[in-house]
Amino acid sequence: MEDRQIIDLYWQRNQQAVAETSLKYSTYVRRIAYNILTNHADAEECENDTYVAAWNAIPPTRPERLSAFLGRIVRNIALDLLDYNKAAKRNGEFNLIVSELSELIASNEDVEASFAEGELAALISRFLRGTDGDTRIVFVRRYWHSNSIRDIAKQMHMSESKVKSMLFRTRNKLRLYLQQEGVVL
Amino acid sequence: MNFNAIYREIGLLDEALIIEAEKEKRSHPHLRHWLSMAACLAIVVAVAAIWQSGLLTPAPTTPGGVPPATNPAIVVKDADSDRYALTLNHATTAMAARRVIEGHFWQRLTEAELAAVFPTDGERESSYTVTATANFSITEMGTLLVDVVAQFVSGEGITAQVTASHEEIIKCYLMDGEPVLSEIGGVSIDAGYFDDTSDGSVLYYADFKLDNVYYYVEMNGDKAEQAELAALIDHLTAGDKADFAAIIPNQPPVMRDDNLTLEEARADETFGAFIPERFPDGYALNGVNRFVNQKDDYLSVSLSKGMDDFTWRVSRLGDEDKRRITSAADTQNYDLSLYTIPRADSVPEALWKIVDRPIFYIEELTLEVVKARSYRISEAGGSDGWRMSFGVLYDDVLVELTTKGITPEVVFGLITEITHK
Repeated sequence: MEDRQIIDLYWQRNQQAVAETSLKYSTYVRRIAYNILTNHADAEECENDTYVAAWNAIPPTRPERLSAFLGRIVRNIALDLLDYNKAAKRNGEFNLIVSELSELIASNEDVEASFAEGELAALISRFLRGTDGDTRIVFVRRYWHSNSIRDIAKQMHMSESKVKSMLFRTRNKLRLYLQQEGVVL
Repeated sequence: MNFNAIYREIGLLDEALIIEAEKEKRSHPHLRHWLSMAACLAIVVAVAAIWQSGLLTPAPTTPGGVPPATNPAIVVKDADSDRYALTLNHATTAMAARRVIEGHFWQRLTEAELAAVFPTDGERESSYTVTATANFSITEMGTLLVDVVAQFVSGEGITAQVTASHEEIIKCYLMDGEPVLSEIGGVSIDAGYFDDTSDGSVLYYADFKLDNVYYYVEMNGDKAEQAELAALIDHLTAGDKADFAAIIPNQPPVMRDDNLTLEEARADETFGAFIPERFPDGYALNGVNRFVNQKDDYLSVSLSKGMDDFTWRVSRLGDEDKRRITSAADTQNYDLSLYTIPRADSVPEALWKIVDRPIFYIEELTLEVVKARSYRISEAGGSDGWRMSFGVLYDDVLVELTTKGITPEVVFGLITEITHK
């Protein structure tokens, strides 16, 4: 079923909307949750919570892209669960991702004070739109989908060292860009 | 802002960026190999592992307690008799990609090898024309056969790809719930179809295990292919046991995938003379790669400076490259000032490839030609320096370069420096 039709079902408060969402996006949603949590039971819990959240959010929301909409929800739910589980259950790969992102926000309070939710994301989006396709895709797969370096290397048919190098360079350029845009780092 | 907060913030990136990253599939630039559509990436392996663990089945509980819709399966029956019926399950997700094999080389199977790997039922006449390639991997343990990929062309001219391997072939088409299995010749068959909305075609696939050999069959088409798929499976399952031992690997070809220093690159016997002695100021070396396999043979250098890049790739001119060679007199083949951006709209389709990456004879290359390939645009977070991309032919050696942030004069100097060697 097309996304538009599924979203129409949500707007009609037809519970088949959830079934159709699950039918189409179960694998996708669980994979994102699993990348963060590396625990099947937790990923399954996140998936079901994501459907509930989508049911509650549509309407009034009418997402243009259901996959990205669900992906955002499941990322946040998984992250909440990760916070709840604390470091003991945190997975090494995700720690690495967070550690890489920490390079962008060495001095943290100022950033939080200066930028409303979404403003920093808008700047990063603008930066990414100015980069080449491979750079964008590798960055998004690493920091949005939380894929491992190894997985990205295989997906993109690159060496792992090339992926690491691309990400390193992109983070450096992004940090400079954010500085130029007035983000205090 | 704590570290998790910036991770959440990245969750709010433009949807277009997310969709682009999810859609993108990439073919391997170096290694030719492929285990067909059935051989997937590690991420797919991970998904398959989750699948096999039972995590994805039964269908997940939903808040409303509504079960997922039943997949619309198709049943294909033997047209001539009632010997079999093949159920084609409806796959909802395609996760196809190509698999990279370390130390990969390949060879065409001989008639004798073909007969051993795909033996026919002596009582039936085969109407298929078969060609096949064996894929090998060179490992510490020696040369290993990875799989055999065959093209079966039926009497009606319909082509199917058949992969046979001692290793299980990972599915790249997923459905929700358990597939309905069929049985042909006493063999359990998991078959299905996937509607490829990108081009409107339908992909049919089937996999099964026969005498400890895994088979994967795939074809693209319409209803005629449904019957062909079933008939081909019937043909394969009726044959004798595959004998992979009959395949004798040739002497492995020369293969390289080495990271070099610039000094080592310049000392390379084949292509070293085509590496400039100096590169533009301020550019740092990302890497130098010397790659050789049955298909490719090149030396590449990559540098960067901030948002600017420089790549220089040296190889032999290939047959495919010849289509991109242009005379400097044919400005419509390369002069970017003739075409507005987006060039997909302004460049005639027949010229797309040559305008994208033209190749010039070194004898005809002038600064004016290089300038005609150069352009500047402003981009967020990047420099607005000159960009260009083209190739230069020195007899049968092709140098292809892509630069950002370097003036046409400097690029022309680098190219002409090579001519003076």
